[in-house]
Amino acid sequence: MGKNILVADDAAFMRMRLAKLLTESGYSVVGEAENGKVAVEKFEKLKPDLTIVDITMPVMDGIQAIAEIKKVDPDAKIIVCSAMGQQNMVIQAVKAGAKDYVLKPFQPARVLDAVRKQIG
Amino acid sequence: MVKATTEELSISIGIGEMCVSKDKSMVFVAHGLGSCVGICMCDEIIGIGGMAHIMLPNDNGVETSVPVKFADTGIPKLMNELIEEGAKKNRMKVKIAGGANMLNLPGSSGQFDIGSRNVEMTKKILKDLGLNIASSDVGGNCGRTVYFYPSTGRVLVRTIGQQLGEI
Amino acid sequence: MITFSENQKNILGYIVERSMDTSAKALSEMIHREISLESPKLGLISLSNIVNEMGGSDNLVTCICLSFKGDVAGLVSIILSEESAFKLVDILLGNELGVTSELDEMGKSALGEVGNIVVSHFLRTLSTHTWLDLQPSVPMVVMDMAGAILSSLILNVGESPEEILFSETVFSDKSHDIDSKLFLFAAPSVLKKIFEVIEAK
Repeated sequence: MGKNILVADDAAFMRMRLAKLLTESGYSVVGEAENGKVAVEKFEKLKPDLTIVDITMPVMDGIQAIAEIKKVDPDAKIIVCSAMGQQNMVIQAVKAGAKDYVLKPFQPARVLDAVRKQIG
Repeated sequence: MVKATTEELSISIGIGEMCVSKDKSMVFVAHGLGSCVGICMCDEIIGIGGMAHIMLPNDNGVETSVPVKFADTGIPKLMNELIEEGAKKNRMKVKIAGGANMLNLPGSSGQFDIGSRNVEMTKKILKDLGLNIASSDVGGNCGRTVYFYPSTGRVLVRTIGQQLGEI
Repeated sequence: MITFSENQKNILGYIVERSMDTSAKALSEMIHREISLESPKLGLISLSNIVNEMGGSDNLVTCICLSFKGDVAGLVSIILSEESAFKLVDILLGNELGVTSELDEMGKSALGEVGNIVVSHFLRTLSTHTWLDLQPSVPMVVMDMAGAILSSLILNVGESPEEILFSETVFSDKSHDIDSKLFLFAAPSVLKKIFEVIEAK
């Protein structure tokens, strides 16, 4: 059975692309969130094996969302997928608890690599 | 669609600009008004009118060479110029258009919704000057192009995807 | 009135060009097409001039815009003709060119993501060269009259409305399906901050 993934990105277009890529590779995208707050709520409800988050999102940004998810489950596996490549942003994300950082525009192989590394 | 006929002379009124005329063949055009406001004043009896294109409510104390950029300085200037040319304040017909909120940019600076602030200030200044607004097309979130016939006071407004309308 | 020397203008020009170059590369990766860019114009300009210079300020355009904040505030926006915007959406959604004839939510989202990626890469390069901390907002996509959008955008940069730092370049692919202009608008104080940082380095 496919591992469960939650995708959080404010762009419907990005969620669609990520969901398509992951589904075609045998994963189940169990939920989508358009901002960090919804991501935290859906994480609590869905308990996914992996969460992919964007950084720049309205209401609650990705960094805050990672920290909140970690409060709910300190073992939560989270990958960042964002166009924000500034070093300090990557460091902040990792400090908050992200396991990997994929820069947009993403290469499908790079995303799948990062996902496999976390949940096989 | 209003098309400038061969006898029609069209003058573009840019941001911070103002123009007054008695010419019957003249049309003033403020192209692509967003949060800016176009103020049109006309004394039909003697057939004179003027238009100002303002961009901010007030100058906030910034030194400027262009008073027409601001509602608080631009509107009295327009009125006074018309009066100097023989217009009477009690006959002045005022129409305003513009002041849209084009953008809803998250995280941008505090000058939020300049469009509605421009409209509010325009109304306040006109009231203080003792001028009534005959008609207006303000607010919303679409850009406008405004055509003003200074000798008759006729005002037409164009928005994208809509019929040209008279106000 | 803020002025800057020829030398400062060259430095700034170099940084802006590098940043625009990174943006073009990111867009190119995104749509799998080569994107070339013109050498950017750079200068201080008054609001009335910029809107007048645009020409056809009541032409319908599509504008993808992000503001940024942090050490300095400003805006980056990508302006496309309606036709180019539709073609860009087709490319992004994997449609044949000509399918899109209206911007729906998914189309807007796809264009917004172009803005997000292009502007993030722009700011990253700008940050690398200036050490300024800059964070982009979420993108906004508007279709309306060019002048109406631009004047409203620039007024949102704030500070003195008299003059604004402005840069412009043309992005296009070989077949000219995507002809667009990338604009940078920043408050004039950005210059002071950038030069302070560069001189301190």
